[in-house]
Amino acid sequence: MSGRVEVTVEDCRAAAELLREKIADPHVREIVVRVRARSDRAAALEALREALSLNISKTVVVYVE
Amino acid sequence: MSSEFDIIITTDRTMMTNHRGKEFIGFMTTGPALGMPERLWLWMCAPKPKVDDLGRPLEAPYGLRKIEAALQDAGFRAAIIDPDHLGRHIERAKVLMVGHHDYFALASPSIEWWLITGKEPVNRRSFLRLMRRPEVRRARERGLRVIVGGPAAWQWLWNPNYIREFGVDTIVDGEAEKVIVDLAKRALEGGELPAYVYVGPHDAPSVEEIPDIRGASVNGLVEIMRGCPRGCRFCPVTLRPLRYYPLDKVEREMLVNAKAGLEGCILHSEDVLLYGARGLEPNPEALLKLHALAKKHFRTVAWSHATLAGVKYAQERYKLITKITEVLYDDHQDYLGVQIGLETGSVRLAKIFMQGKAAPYRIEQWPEVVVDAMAILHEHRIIPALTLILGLPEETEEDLIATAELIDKLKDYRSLIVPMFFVPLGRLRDRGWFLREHLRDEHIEVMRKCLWHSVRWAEDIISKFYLRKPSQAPLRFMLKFFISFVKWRARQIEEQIQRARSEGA
Repeated sequence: MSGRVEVTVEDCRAAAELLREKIADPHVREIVVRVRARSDRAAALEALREALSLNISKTVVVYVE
Repeated sequence: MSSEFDIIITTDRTMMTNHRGKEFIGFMTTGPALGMPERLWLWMCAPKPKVDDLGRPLEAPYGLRKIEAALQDAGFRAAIIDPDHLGRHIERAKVLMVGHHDYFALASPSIEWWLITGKEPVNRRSFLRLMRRPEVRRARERGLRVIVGGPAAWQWLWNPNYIREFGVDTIVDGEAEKVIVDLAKRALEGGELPAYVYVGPHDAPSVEEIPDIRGASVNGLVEIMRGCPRGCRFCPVTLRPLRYYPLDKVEREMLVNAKAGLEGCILHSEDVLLYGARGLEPNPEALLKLHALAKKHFRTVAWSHATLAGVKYAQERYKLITKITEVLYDDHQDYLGVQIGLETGSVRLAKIFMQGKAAPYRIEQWPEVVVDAMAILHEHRIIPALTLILGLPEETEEDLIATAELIDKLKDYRSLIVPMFFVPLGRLRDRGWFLREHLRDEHIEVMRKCLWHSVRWAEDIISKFYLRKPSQAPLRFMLKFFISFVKWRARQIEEQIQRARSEGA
């Protein structure tokens, strides 16, 4: 297992849920999430802030499409 | 090198400065201008650096130097440009990279100066002015890509309006040397950029992957290690893997600074006394070699950070503080500056949040460790700027009383004590902020004790240590004027508080 997950989700709520789940998963080392946000990247990042604040040990990359 | 840079790396004036060669003056950039106009304040604490004919500063923040080196090593035409000289390059540049310790004054101590005085700190004001310059706006409008990072990268998530206003494409949080090359390539090729990158410990660069700086760093700062084994839960540095730079790497960077004409060196580590350590056991040989090396190339040497337990143990077990100061002190240097985390006087809080801070002593001994270490520092003319945290989660009145009592025990030891409001970082990233409305009488009492301790010793430190040369008389005068203003204002506030208490009784 490489420990890398890359997922595309339809909105920020789904992205936040995915982040929470994968951040808690000890087998995951890198999370790449693509968000098809309906708003701009600033709003998307604000929506993800709480979930991102849970992370201290994994590489997380967020794309906002 | 061509004068056309594809990638410009910069920051605002409060960072792009050597703080007159005195790191403690840099603290002033975290506050609002008090008792004088902002221009005068900035003249005092953030003078413009010398630049070459392309506008590249002679000295630049070490973190920016690392990014510059990573990009130049990868073949990019990248350079750090002083903010006053951006206009000459930004029209043709394709990428702007910005770093900062505290973009929006949300970190300590900026945030408490802001909350206490109600005035925006100058670092925030200076950064916003930089990003709102017409030439920066015009460049963004024609497609300049903006990548931000550094220790304060997290602050952008709390300021989405500024992500929008300044057209930030990517926020990079964490050690960026490995990821920045790929991001730069994508940015230059017009490729897709992530909105956010957090570099986890598995992707932190190894020592071999960390490039050597190519230009001089502010006040000759060089890293000697990264990470910290003490594991304090409020500190983001402990999340990183522990790596020691070998001496030849440290020396290569020292030589870059020495060749640029710098006469001083700051050894950077979260705990300098752990350089080359086996666990928490100091390595006297490595430490003495490191300091001898620094002294070989520079007139003066300072430490960025140390720990009080480290000081006490190194001296009691190996007489290392004596031995190191014997290496350092000569006609050019008879004192040493350092920043040290005191954090709390409460053993209860220390047990919860910083179990390793007192090691190898038991955490129950924390107040004793603090006092013993301060006596050792004072005796060896090592001047610490101590920081402590107010508003740690679960903090009680008794914890604050313990901190106040510990400060009383430090009154005879030359030092500054700076209280800092808790900011959720490190393993406490998901905790709540300490806000003005959380302040209670015991916090004010601790802050009052810190203030009077610091102003008392600041006068001594300025006159007898930091600014004693005749050429430093104007700055010495200005700082003493500022201290007098602070004392006058503090007495006023104390009287107001006293009256309010009397009326409420």
